[in-house]
Amino acid sequence: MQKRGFKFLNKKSQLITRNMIIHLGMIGILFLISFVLFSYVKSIEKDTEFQKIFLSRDLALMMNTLYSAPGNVEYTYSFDKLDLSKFKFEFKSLEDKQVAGVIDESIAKTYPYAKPSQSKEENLVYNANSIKFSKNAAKLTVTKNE
Amino acid sequence: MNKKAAFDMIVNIFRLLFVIVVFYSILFLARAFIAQKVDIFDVESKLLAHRLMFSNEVSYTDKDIGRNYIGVIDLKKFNSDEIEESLLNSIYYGKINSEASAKLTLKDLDDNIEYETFYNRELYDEKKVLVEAKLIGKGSAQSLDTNFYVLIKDDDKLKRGALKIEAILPNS
Repeated sequence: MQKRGFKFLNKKSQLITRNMIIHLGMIGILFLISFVLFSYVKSIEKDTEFQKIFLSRDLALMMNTLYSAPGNVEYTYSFDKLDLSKFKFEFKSLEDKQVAGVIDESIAKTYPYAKPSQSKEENLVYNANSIKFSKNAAKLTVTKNE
Repeated sequence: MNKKAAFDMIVNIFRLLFVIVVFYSILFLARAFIAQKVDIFDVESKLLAHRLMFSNEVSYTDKDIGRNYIGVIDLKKFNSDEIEESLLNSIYYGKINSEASAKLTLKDLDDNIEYETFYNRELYDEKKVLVEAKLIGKGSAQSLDTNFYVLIKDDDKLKRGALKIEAILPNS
């Protein structure tokens, strides 16, 4: 009966070769895992999805906070570590609700906010380094800060 | 297959399983450090509570000078039939408000009487069941109680009171 494995190797050599193949396979898997993880983290680094969600939530919360204030308010919204000019912002009164957030080509990330029912405003701010909020009585105006 | 080969195969299966476990652990750890959600429930519910508390609809207003006294609850306003409507109009999310709801409980500490009213009662009743059932995830809701010591203006008398606002917001 013919023996399996490499003909030119003895039993001990066969065992060494098999172990080498297993170890080389494991090293290959290790490289594969590293590659998958690095690609995953790299893709997240470039992704602005989280920034859009954060900004949308923050702006809706900002609108709620400003409308909660009993007096007149002027506030400039800006960040040192985040370039706001990369995003398009929307503050919009729809028929059934009003929303604030970030819009882009693919999908709009907007969240609703509450205002007094009598006030109605529609503003679109985009490519601004900072946004200016001015609240006078029940009227809130959002403009690009020049 | 001899005994040694069978043993080696079993060992290799365990090795493979171990590598898979390590792979998923690393993936899980990598994902755990990447924030993908923004949870602002506490801030939102506190903000709603303060907004209700500061609103003209429950606070006493001096009609002669138009001043609104924050922290002084007008009992007439609080017990009026229109309060729920006026609160919905002052904190207006839209025709259908599926964003926020609250229960306001005013306790007269001098006479030990409790009064209650609601902001968006329809949503409150709907979501309260889910909060009590302690369900989590989308579709469910969370609640947060905020307490204020207030004065109650009952005609000409000023009484000591406590206002408890239970805000219920749907999970998003």
